[in-house]
Amino acid sequence: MNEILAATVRELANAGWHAFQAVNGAVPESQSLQPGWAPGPLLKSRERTKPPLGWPRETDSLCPRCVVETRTAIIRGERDLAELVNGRVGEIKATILEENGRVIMRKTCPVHGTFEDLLSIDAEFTRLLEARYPGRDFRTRGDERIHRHGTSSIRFGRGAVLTIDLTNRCNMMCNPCFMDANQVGYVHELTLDEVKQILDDSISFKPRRQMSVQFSGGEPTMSPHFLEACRYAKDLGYYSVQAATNGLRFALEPEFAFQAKEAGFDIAYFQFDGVTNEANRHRHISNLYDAKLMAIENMTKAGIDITPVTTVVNTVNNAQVGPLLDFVIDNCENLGGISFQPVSFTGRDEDISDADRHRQRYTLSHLAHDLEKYFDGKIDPYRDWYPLGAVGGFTALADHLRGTEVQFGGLACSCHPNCGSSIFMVANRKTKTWAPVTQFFDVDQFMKDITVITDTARGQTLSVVQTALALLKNFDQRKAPSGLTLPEFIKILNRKSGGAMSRGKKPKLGDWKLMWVGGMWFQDLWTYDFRRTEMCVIPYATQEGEISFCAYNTGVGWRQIVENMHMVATTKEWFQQRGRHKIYAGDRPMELPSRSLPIVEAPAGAGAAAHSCACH
Amino acid sequence: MMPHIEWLVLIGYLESLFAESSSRKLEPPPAGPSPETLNRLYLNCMREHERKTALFSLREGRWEPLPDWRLDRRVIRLALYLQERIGLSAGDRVAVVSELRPEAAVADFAALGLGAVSVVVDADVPANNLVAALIDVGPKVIFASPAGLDRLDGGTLRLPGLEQVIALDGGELGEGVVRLEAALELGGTLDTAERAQAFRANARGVEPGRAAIVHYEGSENREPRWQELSQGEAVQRVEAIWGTQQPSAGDRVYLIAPEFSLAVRLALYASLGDGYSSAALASSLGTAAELTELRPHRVIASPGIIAQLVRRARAAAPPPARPGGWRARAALLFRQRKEPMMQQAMRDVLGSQVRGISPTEPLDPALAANLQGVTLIGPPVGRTAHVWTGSERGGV
Repeated sequence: MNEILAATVRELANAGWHAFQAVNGAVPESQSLQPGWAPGPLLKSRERTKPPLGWPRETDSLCPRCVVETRTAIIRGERDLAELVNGRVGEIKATILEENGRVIMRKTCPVHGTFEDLLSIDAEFTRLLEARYPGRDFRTRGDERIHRHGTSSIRFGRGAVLTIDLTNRCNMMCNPCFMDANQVGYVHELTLDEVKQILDDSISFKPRRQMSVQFSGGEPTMSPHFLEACRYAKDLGYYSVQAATNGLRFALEPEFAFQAKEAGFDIAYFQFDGVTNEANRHRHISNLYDAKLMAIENMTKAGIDITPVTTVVNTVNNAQVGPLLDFVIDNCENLGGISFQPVSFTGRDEDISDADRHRQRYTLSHLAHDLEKYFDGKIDPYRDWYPLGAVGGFTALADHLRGTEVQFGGLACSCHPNCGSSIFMVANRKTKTWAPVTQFFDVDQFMKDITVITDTARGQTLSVVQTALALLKNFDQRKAPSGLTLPEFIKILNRKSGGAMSRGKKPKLGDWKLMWVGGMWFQDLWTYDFRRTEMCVIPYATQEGEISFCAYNTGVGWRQIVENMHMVATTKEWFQQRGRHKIYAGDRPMELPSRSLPIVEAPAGAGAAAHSCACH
Repeated sequence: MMPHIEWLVLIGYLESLFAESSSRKLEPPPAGPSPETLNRLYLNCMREHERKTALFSLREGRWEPLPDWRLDRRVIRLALYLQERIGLSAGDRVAVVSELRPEAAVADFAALGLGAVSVVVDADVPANNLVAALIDVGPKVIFASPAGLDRLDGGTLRLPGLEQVIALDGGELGEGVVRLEAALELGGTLDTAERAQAFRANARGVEPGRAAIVHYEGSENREPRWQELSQGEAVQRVEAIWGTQQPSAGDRVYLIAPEFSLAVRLALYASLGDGYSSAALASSLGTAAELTELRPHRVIASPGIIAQLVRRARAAAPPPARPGGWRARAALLFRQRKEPMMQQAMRDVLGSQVRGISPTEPLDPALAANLQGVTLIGPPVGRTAHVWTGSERGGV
């Protein structure tokens, strides 16, 4: 009976939509709103630009050898930093092409020869991701002081996650480490005034961005300014305050979790490599998984949301992706999703042999197929995965509905479709029932409908009516998981959008929640594409301005340059003047506080994981 | 206006009824077993509380909130600095030469957490008496506010056993004086999970019988007089204060006394320790603007300050209305019964939502009689403690 009613509602909504559009299409489009945060009127779909997509295509890339040589020379003072800013150091052309159903990047340096690497094992999957990309965000304006890194400068968009390294100190000694924490021989640590300046600068230009701030490191909770930095970011109005953390501090000091929450800390982007102590062995703490569970327990009690993050290396821990997602679903009352990060060969891994690199290379397409296999096809690579940038379409609608009075533009993760992909799932906290949203909701059609709504720009009331009709007609109750009704689905969507459909009033948490399963693939010297860095949504905010994540950590390697320019002491001096901190290493167990009952149980069949890192 | 006075009276009456019905539900003082020591009281309330602000203090005439997380981090960082850099340990003494201010509370809790004895000497003590008092104390560390620092001369800074003087606030610093902010900065990098938890564990382990807080009570024949409470005694006194006051989540408690007395100190512990209240540390004499902005729910003040508040209310209260016709007379009678003029004036002076005043010391009977029916007066928070002179006990 309910299904008949739902089908009737769906057909009526469909008829209503078409009737509405018959009139709507006959009336000239209204002008888009221009909120104060935006550099111009909200973009219509035809005004959104796209980077060159499809293949074969040519792009600007880097020679993996020239770049390292130049960077080293700059750090040694043998070459001038201005060369990096004004020149095209190490840049070469690359071709992206399809061969045997795979997508590869091939490039030739006149000095160092030809380099080739894999971008996708499934050309059709990657083609679909690119086809679902709705287009770039605004071009930035008034940002000359912040984005001044030559060809590595960010040029588009408002960013999604502003990353700030508070310190390069860490309480673990992972091998490898993304930033070689504790081993570079110097300490780079921001003062609180520097953190404040960086946060102020970041909202000084247009589009004024509704970003998440992510404090990173090193281990950001080692910074004495972590709590104050959270508070300041929150006071400025940032959307959420996150930290890329290994969680040890929260495991060892429950009070710290409560204090962090009180100070404004919202989300732990939580290093999580596998679901047994064995799977975490490469971190050199023999009971690390126990510590992770304790951290989850303490953070959950304090009200901190947790998103586990796992770096995936082919032939090392790719078998863990399924069990990890299982773990997240089993604990969906505490965890908001999971971020898988296909390995990026950086830091000491820049010296990796070609054979190892080819063997360990893992891509977004690998992830899609591994999850499909593990869940027996319940997650469909071609139906369920969308580029991260697809969220930009939803943001366009939210910006349109929120009107002109808001101080910040909505969170827009409008990065290049090759940078990341994701699935949105619904899960029931109590029954653990779950399904990809695309199983019961026609996202492709809904995105087309959104485009009509934002392009015609009919004002708030008529836009809400159209949105409601679009939601009704694209929701198929027959395919939804048992117990999930349309009103419940609208509630969770509205909650996720910060109450955009109810004039900013955020609905209460129900049994169902929206979960995010992401694949975020950072570039390295072999896969580098300047078309990606210029529209980066994860800017690294530093004392030298905001730099694309990949330009900072992998490509040109601005990290080493900036840290050398602004180091505060050698490690030896630091320890003498400020005291040593405890580092957990040597394959020994760490002493954990006593606890009551575990809140999570490990699923069976856990394997090994390696190479992961809290910092993306 | 006069023809509408009935309406005004009626509105006032209805408002008073409404105010009564909408007043927040009072909650009992912290339930459960007694924390037994001051340290456990502090640690418990830092871990569990229902308030956004632990302390309010005045900065450039405005109330500045100090949330629990920030207070606790400062206490831990200072304690780690004192422990690692100065070698302060259980049984050592620190002197806090200051007026009532949040930094003094931070110093107090940091020292107590390490098992040290925290000796407070008000910053207004004359310089000669102060030197004599400090010689008697023999502190390892002196915390001094700018006013206190002005009274410390070179001789004081060379006291035997004195390792460091820490200035609680800005101003010019003499040789060997370290700023509190610098100590907190260094303590910040020492503040790791392991050290913070070790500090908490040690603080919890301090026994109830250990000497904790000492207060300078003036001099007699040039000999300083002291009041001392152990960790356990101090908690008993705090619990006695809880027995007389009903905290409610979000309460603001206005602490005002010209001197940093033992009673004020206990009232501060009581307010912080209940986990519901925010203690607001007034300027030395308090001002009408402070009260207007803060709108406290409870006031703890010295008898002298209460007398001043009464005088302020009296001056603000409208003169007794002259009978001008039957309606005005009736209205006056009605108003006097429900909301006496003086009571209203006192409420206005105290910021309109105050539930009562607690004196730090027993009130003069005349003043107490004067306040009868004007405002709710609680029992004094600072009952007599054992007082002795330095020579009786061979120093503090």
